[in-house]
Amino acid sequence: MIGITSYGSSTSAGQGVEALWKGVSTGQNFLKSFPTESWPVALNFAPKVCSWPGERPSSAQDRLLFHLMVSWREAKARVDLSADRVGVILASTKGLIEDYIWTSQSLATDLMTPLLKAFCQHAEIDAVKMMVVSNACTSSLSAIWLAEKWLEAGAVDSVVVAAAEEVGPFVLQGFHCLHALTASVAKPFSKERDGLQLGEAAAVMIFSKRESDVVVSGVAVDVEGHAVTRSAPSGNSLKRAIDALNLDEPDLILAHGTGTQLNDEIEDQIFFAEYGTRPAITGSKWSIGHTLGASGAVDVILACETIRRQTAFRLGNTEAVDPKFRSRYLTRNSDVAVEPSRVLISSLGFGGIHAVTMVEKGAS
Amino acid sequence: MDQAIVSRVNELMHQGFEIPTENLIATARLKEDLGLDSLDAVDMLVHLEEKLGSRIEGERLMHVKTLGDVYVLVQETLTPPTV
Amino acid sequence: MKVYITGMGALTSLGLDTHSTFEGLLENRSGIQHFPEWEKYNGLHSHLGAPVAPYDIMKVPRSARRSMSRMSEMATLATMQALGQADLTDESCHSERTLIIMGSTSGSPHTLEAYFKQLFERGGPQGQLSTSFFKVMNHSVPANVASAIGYRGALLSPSSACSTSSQAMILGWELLQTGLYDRVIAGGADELHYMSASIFDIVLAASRNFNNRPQQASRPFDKDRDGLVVSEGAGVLVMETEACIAKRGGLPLAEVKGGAYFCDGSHMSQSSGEAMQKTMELALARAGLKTSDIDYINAHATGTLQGDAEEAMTIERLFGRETPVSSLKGNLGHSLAACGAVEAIASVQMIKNEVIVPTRNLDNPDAVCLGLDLVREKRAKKLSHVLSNNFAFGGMNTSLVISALT
Repeated sequence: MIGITSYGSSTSAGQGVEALWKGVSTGQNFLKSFPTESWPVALNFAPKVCSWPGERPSSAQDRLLFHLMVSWREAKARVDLSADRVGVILASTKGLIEDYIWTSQSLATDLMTPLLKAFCQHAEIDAVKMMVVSNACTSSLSAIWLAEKWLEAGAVDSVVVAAAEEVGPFVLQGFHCLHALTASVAKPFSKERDGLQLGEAAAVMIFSKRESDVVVSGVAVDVEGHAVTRSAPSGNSLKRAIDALNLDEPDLILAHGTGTQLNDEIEDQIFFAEYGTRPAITGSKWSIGHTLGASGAVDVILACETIRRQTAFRLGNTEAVDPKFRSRYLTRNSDVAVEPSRVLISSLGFGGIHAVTMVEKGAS
Repeated sequence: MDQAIVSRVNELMHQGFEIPTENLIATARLKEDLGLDSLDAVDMLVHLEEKLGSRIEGERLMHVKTLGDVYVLVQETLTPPTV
Repeated sequence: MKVYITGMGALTSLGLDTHSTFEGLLENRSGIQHFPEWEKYNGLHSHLGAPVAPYDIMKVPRSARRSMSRMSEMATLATMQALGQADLTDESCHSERTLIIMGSTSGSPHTLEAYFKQLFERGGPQGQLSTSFFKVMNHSVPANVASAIGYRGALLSPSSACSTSSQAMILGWELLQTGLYDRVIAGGADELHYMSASIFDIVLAASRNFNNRPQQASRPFDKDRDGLVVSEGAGVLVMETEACIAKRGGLPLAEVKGGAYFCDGSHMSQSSGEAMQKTMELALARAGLKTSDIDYINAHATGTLQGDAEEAMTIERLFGRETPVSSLKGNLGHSLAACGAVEAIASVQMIKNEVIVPTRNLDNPDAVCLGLDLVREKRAKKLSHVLSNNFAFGGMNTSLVISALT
């Protein structure tokens, strides 16, 4: 069990957690056309992305750092880490790839460490431990898993998890080739769902062993070798991760819920098998997009907010759930009168990685 | 090679181009062995696209010489679902 | 120079060859049916058509068949029959001195409908087969026939709706006179589709009161006629010069004595008696004959109020009351581009069998036709010269004289 000391974010909903909560809880979808004029390559389709609002610095490093710093300043405002031994973990899938892939001759370019170091430098953190966790879409939850290990081992007093992901031509073309993008908007768990919408986000979370009103009571990661981009139909890896938590049932689940045919099918199957219709299920990717490596962090922050505000938010684009599904979903017209005290967050990542974490009401 | 893909392609070739089933082997050359010409190649592409519900770039046809190449083309086009 | 018919082939609503078609005519049968599925088309009142029975096209290799719609299939089979009868199935029909003249009213209506439906649905040509275009291009029929028989020779593709195949024959006769060609393979084909019915329906020229009595629909010259019934089919004739036949040892069936086409440009859909008269006079003049030489007139008469009346009055004005007249469209319906050839073939058969086929459904002749000798029952008669008329929209008038061998 580790305390969630503070957090901050910068998403397509705007800067700060207040903007994030407002966007998601009022049913807003931040998907918009993505300008591609300045791109080094031409795509053969017109992309839509939940992108950060405002001006875009011209390099990936500048973009990611800018939003990480916005998030850091929000998180830092509530804490004093001066007496702590601080560990820093960067969670990102693609890091600085857009700065290198179109021009670099070297295949061994480090896309992560320069960002991690730049973050520590700008945030003025004298880190005793630094690590990059790049576990595809489970990067954030995997980073929290590592943070828990560091804290339990007493190696650090606080861990700063800095998660960031941007969307550029490389990522867009990749998901397009996988036929994974929605032709309209993401409609998780809906019968008409036809794919995901990509999003950009940065989030910073600070963990420690100190008491907090919101805690991570468990985190588990399971990996299967079934296929690179999809889970085995049995969903067993997700099930194993949930079973490894070995905790009481959640009353709310923030599902990975990308809105692809397969993802939603697997999550419904396993959540129902584990919990029946007892917890309400929702998600945020319909609003701010699938932010890949940052998605788990954003959802952990949202989970904390649901506990603090004692209310949930809906799957805004989902009117009718797929009739084959059996779990209970907070759809567009659902009541959000849930008073969560225990929230499960799940992430399913390419490479057959399945990660879950439980955020609970803490003591204080 | 996914057997389901082989059967679907073979069925198309048999129904659409009247090719006897026994001639439909992976090493069969479309032109020399199965008697398909350039018009047939275009129409084969259209039939495949209609069946698969996916676009196949016309240029990819230029590298398709045997029935086995058609199986591979179909497999690559039928991208499996992702999470 | 003399021109003879040496081969004939046809697929009609009465039979899949010339023999069964003629039998059907002699038995006074009708191939007209009701199409209940046409009732769903808003604005279409005529739900009748005379289809050709299912035929076997599989002897044509796939590489030729794939670009064929029904009209090309029927034209191909009819061509093969005609060449077979003329004993020209080998290399001998391929020559720059052979000319195929064939056409249809338009490209395949079935394929056109499907082509444009998909075009609009997808907002572009996505998903169209390459072979679709070959079915809808205007010269689909002769191009496909040529491809099916591996033809190497001259080819023309006239298209003038109901006068297509008669124009083809007359043009063929004219070109044979020039000495440029020894042989013409002339014909036309059209396929049955509700769009064809609608073309006439819109101008109130298609029968709409006999939907529940299809066999009584299509009533040329009859007082109760209410319009034509569309049908489908193909008719092909081989015409050769006397010298060519002699050289190769062919067998003539009948003589094409002459023919003419004449357009008056007066009205798109209504025929003009003056123009019809002029056409018939020209045909006679070219054939070197007088009106009294004609033993039988095979009228165009489709069963429309205006057309039949105009033709009847013109015939009476020109020929008087003595020349027997009948129309075959009570039996066959109107096969559009095929009818000229099909009716010319029937004329040859009438000459050979010394019998005139009567007009079917002519129960009560319209007053305006009463002056004519309307053949209402099979009539045995020795025929030396037959005049066959075909008139189409746009003032396309044709008249052809076919004569017995002397």
